[in-house]
Amino acid sequence: MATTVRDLKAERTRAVRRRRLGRIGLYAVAITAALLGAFPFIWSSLTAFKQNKDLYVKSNNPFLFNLAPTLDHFRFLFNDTNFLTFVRNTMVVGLAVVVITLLISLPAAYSLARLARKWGERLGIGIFLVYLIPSTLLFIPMQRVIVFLGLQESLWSLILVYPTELIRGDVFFWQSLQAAAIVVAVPIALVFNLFLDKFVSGFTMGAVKG
Amino acid sequence: MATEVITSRRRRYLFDNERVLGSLLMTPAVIYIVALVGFPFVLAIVFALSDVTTGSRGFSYVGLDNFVRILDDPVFLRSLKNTFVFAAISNVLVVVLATALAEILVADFKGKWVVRFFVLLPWTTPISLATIMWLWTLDSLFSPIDWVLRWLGLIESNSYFLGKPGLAMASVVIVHTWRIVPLAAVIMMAGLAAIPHEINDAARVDGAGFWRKRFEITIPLLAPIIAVAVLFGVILTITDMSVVWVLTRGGPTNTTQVLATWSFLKGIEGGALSQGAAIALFLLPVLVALTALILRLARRVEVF
Repeated sequence: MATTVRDLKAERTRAVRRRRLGRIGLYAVAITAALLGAFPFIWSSLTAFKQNKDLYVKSNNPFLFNLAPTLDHFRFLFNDTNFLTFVRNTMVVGLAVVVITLLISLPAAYSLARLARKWGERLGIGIFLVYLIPSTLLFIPMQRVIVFLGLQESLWSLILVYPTELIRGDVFFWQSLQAAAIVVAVPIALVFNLFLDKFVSGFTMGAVKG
Repeated sequence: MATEVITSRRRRYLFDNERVLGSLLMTPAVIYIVALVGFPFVLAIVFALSDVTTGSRGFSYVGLDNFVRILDDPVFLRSLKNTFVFAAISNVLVVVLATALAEILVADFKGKWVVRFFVLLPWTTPISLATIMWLWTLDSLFSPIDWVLRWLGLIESNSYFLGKPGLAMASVVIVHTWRIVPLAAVIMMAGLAAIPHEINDAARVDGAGFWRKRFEITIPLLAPIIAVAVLFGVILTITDMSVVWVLTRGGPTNTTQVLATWSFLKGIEGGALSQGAAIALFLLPVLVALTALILRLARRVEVF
């Protein structure tokens, strides 16, 4: 083996070049992924600040402000719709769900993991199977239950029919809906991001154990 | 001596008995599941064998009539096929994209936090809101995608993404893929983190290149976790109705109809609760098959 100094040098530049190429590839894929993931969001946040006159011209560049930006859609969202009520309802329901879920599932999880190992595993799988039942299958009987309880006009129309009608109905509401999507999505994503590493390490703890 | 003390204590304190404490702690969860999932589930089966509607309170047993009737319906067959086609195509895309994305999420680079934030946005947004954004993105007149295509000179006027059967189906698949990739990537990220460093180091010492390492180490070791991600993805696509409902309502002329939306249209909008329940029940055999797969996998990987 006649490895000369020159060979070693060539080897090193090749390694450096390969590493640099790898970094460039990494950044390229990362940026593409970020753009693809965020595309509707980026675009919605542009649209939410645009004047209607700017939006409804087919030839206008959709990625630029052809007219001055406006807060009209946000103003409409906060003043002329019940958006704040929706947000509050969502928070109340969300919090209640979290509290109830923790109250029910923490003791169950403890008992599954620590106490009864034999039937615990089987029961755990059984609980997981609940995931598999499609919600469609459940809300059809629920409809009958709601009729039985005499709630069909109040609850049902509010929960299911109203939002879906709203989605397709008013065109002006469009940009406000997009504004709403941004307002709702960004904080959740921020929080989720903060906990991502903890989430993943919790997830792998189970995997490493076995 | 010591065992004697323990047994006497066990007798004295009821809650020290593992059996008693265990079932006590389980009870709320079991009651909850039976009341809110088990009960409606049984009711759905009963409905599917009866002639209930949203309007009347009448109820009589009709056997398998509903199933015979829905099987005769071409729209049902189309929905059944679409459900599988959408789930299959979007999950193939999900696996390919998420394996790549997982590597990015674990890699160390500048601006990592921003990339993670953008990449995870689709998953952290409520499905209906995210789909609403897509609805506008795919608008028949003002779609920015159309604008770009026109700018590039690829099309003359508009593509009508949601107006043509082929494009509408592709749109549904893409929105599903877009929404599930982040979850699959996070699951695989956990799998990547669990691969021991020594294996990667050994491969590098042995001179394995980028692709060789991917295909002969990472992907085989990741396989069980990829399977878990696929199962979650398939369940999420098969049971979801919001994407199709918001984008196309099953149109144009039912070409994007899936079982979930069709059972909603028939059962709730159309009032034929019994048929809606029968349509929704058709999902069950598939999901049971998936369950069997999950059980086999769960034994190999301890993710659950």
